[in-house]
Amino acid sequence: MHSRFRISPQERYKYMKNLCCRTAGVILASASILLVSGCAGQPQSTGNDVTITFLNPHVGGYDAVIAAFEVANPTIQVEQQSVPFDQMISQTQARLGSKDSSIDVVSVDPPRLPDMVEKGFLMDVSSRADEMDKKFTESGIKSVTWEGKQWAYPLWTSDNFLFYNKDVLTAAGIALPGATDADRMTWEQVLAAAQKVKESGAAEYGFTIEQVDRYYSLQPLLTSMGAGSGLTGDGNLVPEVNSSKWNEFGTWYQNLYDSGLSPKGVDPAQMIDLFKTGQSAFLLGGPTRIADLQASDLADKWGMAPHPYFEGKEIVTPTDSWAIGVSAYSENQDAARKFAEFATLDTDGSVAASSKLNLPPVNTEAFPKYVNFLKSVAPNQVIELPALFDIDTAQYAVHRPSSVGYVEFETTMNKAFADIRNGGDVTSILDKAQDVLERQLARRK
Amino acid sequence: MNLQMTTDAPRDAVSQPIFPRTSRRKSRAQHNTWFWAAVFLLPATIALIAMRIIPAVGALREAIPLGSGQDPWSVFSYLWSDPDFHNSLTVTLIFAVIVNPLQIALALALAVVLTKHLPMVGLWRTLILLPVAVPQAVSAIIWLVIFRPDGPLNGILERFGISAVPWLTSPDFALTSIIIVCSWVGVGYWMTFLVTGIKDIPESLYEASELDGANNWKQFLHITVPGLRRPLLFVLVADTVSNFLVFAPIRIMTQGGPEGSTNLIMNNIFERAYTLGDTQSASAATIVLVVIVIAVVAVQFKLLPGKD
Repeated sequence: MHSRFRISPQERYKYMKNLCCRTAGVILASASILLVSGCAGQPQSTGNDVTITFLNPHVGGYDAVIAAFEVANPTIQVEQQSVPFDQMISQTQARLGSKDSSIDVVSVDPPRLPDMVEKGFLMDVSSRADEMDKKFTESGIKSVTWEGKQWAYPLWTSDNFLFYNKDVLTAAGIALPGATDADRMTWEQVLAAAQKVKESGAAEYGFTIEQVDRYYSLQPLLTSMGAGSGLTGDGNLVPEVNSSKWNEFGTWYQNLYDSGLSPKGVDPAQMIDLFKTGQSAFLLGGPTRIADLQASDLADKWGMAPHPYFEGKEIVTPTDSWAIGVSAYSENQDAARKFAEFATLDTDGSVAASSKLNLPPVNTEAFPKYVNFLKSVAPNQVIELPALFDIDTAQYAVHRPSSVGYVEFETTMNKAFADIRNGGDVTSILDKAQDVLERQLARRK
Repeated sequence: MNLQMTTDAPRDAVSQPIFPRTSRRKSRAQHNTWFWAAVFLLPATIALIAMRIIPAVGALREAIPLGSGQDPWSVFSYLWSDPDFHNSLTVTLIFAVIVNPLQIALALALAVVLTKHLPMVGLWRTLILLPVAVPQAVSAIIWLVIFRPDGPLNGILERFGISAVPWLTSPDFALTSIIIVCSWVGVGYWMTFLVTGIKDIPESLYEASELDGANNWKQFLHITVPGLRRPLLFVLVADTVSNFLVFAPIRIMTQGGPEGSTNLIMNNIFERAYTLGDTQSASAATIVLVVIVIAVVAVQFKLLPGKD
């Protein structure tokens, strides 16, 4: 029945040969089209053009500084690879750990720097130490220094403030907090006000933390309460996270959520939206979002107060922020350094780098311009900010511990804080964190 | 002329054998077939070697560091002494025991229902398959909002007088929530294979059994299930493997928490390799995972032969 469809080996051979030739032809033609169209999409290369890749966790944060850099350096293009904040450690580890030369510039969180240096990820930039001394704050330089050498260019520093929603506080009959150091509230006062807001129904939540469950935000509270940083000993490789003071903090932190003053199960990325939409009266957060807040429905309906402290205890504020490092595996280190230096050492570059994410630059010449920029965006809210920032940085700022085991420490503790927030048993969570850290840090000694 | 006719005649019609030429041509043709087969297989073989074999050998060398002065089994002994790894193995096995039968049962039930003469059956099938088209990361973010303690799902429950469920915030519920998300994506996908399988079963079998007085349940048990053996085996094996490799929802929604209750092995391996930079123990954990998957799949092949 099917005999007329049967084909001989010769015919099959011819057919196969034909098919192969045609297929190969199609593949070649498609590849050529792709190549041609690919090339057509790219700007014309002069032969000396370089494209460098910048791995960072700040989507859109560097657009302005890159645009300015490319105008000043027409032969260098900067391509961004922005990843979510929580994936920065894993992306860095995955890409630089495999000696990926396609990453040239990388954002560096200062406490993670020693680990990156030890693994050989970063280029030594100590040769620019003199220039750094002239341009950067001492604290900024310290944040990128490990064993006497500089391994990145410091970009920003940071501080946290107590943001509040004016309408919500007024509706709940609470006086608006003052903005100067003398007006600094205690946590006891803040939580009492938050409770009043909740009871009045003016907002769903009384108080939220922007970087909830993250050690960066919680270290000042722990320290103010009298608990240690959590890392001690030689090289900060001995964990101490289950002391009575840590347990006391854990219980306080859990109560925030058990009492309903703060929300459980909300991701750090969603916290700012909770505040912007009027669902929370207070927000402990950084100046990062000042322009963003002014662009939202909450524009001019918010204010800033100093970072609170525990009554009768010391005032503690956070500090340090992202730096820019050059990959040790980059094949375009000169261009990469040029960009890193433009974003940090160059005054205008540094100001541009703070225009989207409004973190204070460590470049001392750029700082006044940054303040002017903020004043143009939110004139009423930031009047006291420069003075307050200076006081916090000079008197109350506490650095996160420098250690090659910081990544392990931060990862474990952030999970522990999340478990505490979710209502787990504080003592057993902290005991388990202590065990995990003892095992992990023992391998780094 | 005659000769011409003979040689040009269709081969089937030729009664005279032309052995010497044909066999030479045949062997040349066969040789060429092999040559072109090799050419076509080359890209896949290169990809297989570069992306599977070489990394697998690399992982073995990392996990068992022969000739480095280190005890070859030291990485495995560290792994076995790690309570986190024990927990992650337990969670993975509990997850597999629940999620695989659940997904296959749901996929089978939906496939049976959607091969009946329902109104707008195409629409229902599309709606059920739609979650597959949503990227895993996007669906995880959507579910993260849905599962929030003050999220829409609890809002609906509260509307019906049911108290809010701590979907992702309680160690007792988090794994269930992950199972829901994975099934939301998986069931529709596996269903399509079973729908195709059911459609391949001859309609006459159902008609004949109907004449013999068989009810729907008996038809399902004695016609549908036996007729679905091959697609079911495929779905069972592929679903099991994919559920051992669940990663994106965990990474985005829980990071293994609360209190390690959703720390599936892939997340544990990822954290070892890319958070802690401990590629040795990550490689060792990967080898343990591969051994488990091979063992489970082998048992499945044994229990449910695909032969007719």
